[in-house]
Amino acid sequence: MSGPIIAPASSDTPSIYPIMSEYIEALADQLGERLYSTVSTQAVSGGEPGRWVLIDDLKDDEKSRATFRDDGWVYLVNGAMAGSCRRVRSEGYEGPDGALAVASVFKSGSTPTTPADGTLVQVTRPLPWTQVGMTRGLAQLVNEGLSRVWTEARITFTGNGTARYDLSAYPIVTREALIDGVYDWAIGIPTTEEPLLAPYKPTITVNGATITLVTGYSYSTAVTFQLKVFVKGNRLIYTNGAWGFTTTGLENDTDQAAIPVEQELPVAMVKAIQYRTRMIVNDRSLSKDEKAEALAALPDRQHWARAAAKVIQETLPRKTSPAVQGMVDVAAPIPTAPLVGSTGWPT
Amino acid sequence: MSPVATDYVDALGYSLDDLVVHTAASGTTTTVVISALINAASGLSTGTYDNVYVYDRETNRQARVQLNGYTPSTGTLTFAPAMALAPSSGEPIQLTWLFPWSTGMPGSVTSYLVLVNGALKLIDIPVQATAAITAGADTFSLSALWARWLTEDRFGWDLPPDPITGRPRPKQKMLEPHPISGRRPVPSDVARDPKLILGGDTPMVEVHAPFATGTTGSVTFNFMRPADGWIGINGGSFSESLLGLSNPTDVAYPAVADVLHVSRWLALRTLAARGMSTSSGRVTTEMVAEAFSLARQVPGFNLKAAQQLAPGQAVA
Repeated sequence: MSGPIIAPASSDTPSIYPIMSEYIEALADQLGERLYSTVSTQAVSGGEPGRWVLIDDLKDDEKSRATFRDDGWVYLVNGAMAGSCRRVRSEGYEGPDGALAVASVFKSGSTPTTPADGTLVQVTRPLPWTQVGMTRGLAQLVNEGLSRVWTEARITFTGNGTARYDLSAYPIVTREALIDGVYDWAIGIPTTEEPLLAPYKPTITVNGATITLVTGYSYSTAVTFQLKVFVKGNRLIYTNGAWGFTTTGLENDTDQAAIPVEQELPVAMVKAIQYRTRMIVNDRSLSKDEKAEALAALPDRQHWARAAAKVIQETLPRKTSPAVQGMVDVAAPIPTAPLVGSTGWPT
Repeated sequence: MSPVATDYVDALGYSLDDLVVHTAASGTTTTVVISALINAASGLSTGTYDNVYVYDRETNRQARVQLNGYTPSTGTLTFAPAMALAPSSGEPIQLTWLFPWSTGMPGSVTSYLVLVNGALKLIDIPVQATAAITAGADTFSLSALWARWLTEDRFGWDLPPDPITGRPRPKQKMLEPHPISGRRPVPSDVARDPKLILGGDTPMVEVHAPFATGTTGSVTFNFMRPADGWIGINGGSFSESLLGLSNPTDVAYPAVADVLHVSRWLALRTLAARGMSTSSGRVTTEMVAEAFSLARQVPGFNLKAAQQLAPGQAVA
């Protein structure tokens, strides 16, 4: 398992990692229903500004007005109001026109505004794309799923002539259990190749709020090395052109995380099913029979729980044994001098 | 095309076996000559048509045949009071025994128009009221005239059960503009939660969620209202009426058959309550009960109002 490399040497190709909308789409598809479409070119010409969204793909002359009763959501993917999400109001579906009335008007700034023709939309049910009011969104559940799956990353450092490096920029690294060795090019490997595990056991020292990495070896200035760390999936995010640690998880549809969708999905599904169960049980508008019916219609919780448990187990942090690399004699004495040339680079 | 007053009266009159329509040959303000009534046989009674109500459908005038006011040899009926316009040749002349066309005849309180209007008052019909939308406003004023009949249970229309689930649906009270102009408005009861505010001079509807800035058009409210207050005068468009049907060509909304069932019940219970000195036919309580069982099946029949009628009372 190799993870992204953290700035300043952010060299990993981001395209191999899923963007947030891919996670959400996968979750929405498994949990309920989803339509990715565009706002119709047939203009809204009546009614309340910002209330209606016309979607040709939803046209159906026969479907009931109550089709989306209390569980349909419209999310605007792009345009001036991108990121806005609204609930489809009760009896808010006009099948012959593919029209959806939302429970709260879309607004551009403070002005009620109807989404423009051609705006990309995601229509989901039973949960919104992102949090709306007190209702959790698929995006929040995705982040919950990511938070329970571990991955690893490499933090690039530049030597400062000592063995001590401040970790205040990386608040995710708080204890030794979360690091897994230092990697460098100290035995003559070209920097175009992958660095190898250094034989020195790095440690973490904590002094109040100051957390310091002790590499066990003093790297010269201008020499780069990498620290391998374990990190939860929702803390390692690619956004605005660089990987970084965040406390907010994925926020934008194009943000990326390092967890494969197939690993994140089972965990997010478990969280989603748990949440839906709570919603149904606490819904006072439903009768006992209706609740039983709604609960029975949920995806198979046990199936997803088993899959999630397997993912979580498989992705737990496991430290790499130096012998695995086969290029460093772990029995050899720790060198007292760097295995680099006078320039600080491998000879 | 909606029925006119004459349609309702004819249906009721024929149902009671009380109505005959002839054609006038000639007339004066106190007589009318009807060829169909000429009988040359000797010994005929001149009192055959005593107290019969005479109504000229063309001129909308009525009178009552005087005692011994029938001349069999000429087919002439002599009546009082004098009509303001004399019957002319070719005009339809209506004769009834039990009730006059309208009130004002000596010796009669209840008329066919009273019975028909009484029936219309007991039949609720669906009507819609529109009110212009003002962004941000959460109340809509209704006509002050509606305060006399508007009640909470008349706000909204009953809907058939949900076609998919079969579950009963709540009344539909309010609609708002369709997103495509020119199309029928769409329901918005759940979203707006309209409530009827009564108690003041002007009834109002209060909505939970006002309309956003920039909204144009009107909201539509659904009501059930007594049919006697929604009349097309002389065949014109429907409007608020305090008089009910008053002219032969006034139009009302309910079907003739529906009004017949209710007006017949009112007529029979009126006749059953009459004293010995008035024409009443032979009406039994069983006949009244049977008529009522038909009347209560009429769509929109206001059972509550009907049950509040006094014995023999024809108008609620």
